[in-house]
Amino acid sequence: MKGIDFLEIIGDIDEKYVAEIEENQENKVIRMAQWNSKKVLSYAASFLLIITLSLSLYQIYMPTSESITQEEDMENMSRDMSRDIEVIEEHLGEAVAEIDESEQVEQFEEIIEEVPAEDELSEEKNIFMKIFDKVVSFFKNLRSI
Amino acid sequence: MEDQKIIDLFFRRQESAIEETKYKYGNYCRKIAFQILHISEDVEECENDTYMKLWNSIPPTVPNSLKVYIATVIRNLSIQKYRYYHAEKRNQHMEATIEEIEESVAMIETVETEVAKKELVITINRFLEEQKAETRQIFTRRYFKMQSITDICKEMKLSKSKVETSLSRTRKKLKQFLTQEGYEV
Repeated sequence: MKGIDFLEIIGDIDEKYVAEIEENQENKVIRMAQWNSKKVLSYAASFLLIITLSLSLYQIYMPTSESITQEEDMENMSRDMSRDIEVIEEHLGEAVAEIDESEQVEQFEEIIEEVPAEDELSEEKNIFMKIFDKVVSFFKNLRSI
Repeated sequence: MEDQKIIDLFFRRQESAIEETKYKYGNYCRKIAFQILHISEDVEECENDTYMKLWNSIPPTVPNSLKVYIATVIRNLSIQKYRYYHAEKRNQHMEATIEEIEESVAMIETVETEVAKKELVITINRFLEEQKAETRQIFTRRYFKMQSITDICKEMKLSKSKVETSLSRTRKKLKQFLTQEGYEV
């Protein structure tokens, strides 16, 4: 048999074998289209995410007139706070030093006992003694704690 | 338009059936015919003959798949045309395909009667059924759709050597199968 005769006969094969090729091809095209659409969607999602992030970062970091005022306020506040902290540290340092030297506190108590009556002291000494009294009572309280 | 609606148009004998078929499957038809004929004028002529054959055969034929039916019609018409012009208008692609398959079927006696042809078709169907899906698809693409090896590689995403090896093995198996079935002279 000649090749061309055989090819002519093959033309009558069961159509399911031809359909198999066509279906396979169509499925490939569909899969390709699905893959492409997924790719486009993921690109779009990434693009949107990048835009959103960029906008957020811009809002956070870019200076506006409002944010400049806020920044100044913050700076003033932090300056005040650091000053307060310095004062507190100073006082605390003294207090700690006093606590450490508890023997001295006892000596102060003795001194206070020896101090003459209020009327014999000058006004300035009076004030000083009042303050000193308060300080001592403060340390006494501390010790009891 | 859906295939079933086009078939309905053929059944109602509306000429728009041909227009719709041409619109949906025109490119597909020309592609199949071109694989065999390689000459634009012949392809066009074959395409028009296909629409005529569809018009004359539907009804009574009710195709399961219009696409497959069209593929079969235009493929067979193109082979007939190629045979008719064989002496004058040869093309290398088609000659190579014919030579390839001739090696496997040269020992078969030429079938003259329709009954003998149908029997041979049944035997080929049984042979195809026994093959793996991929092997069968490569074989059908090459010897039914007359696709070039390059096109098969591209559409099935396979290497050239794999397609060539598969075709060579399938041809040998076909020869053995036909011999076992008593087709050898």
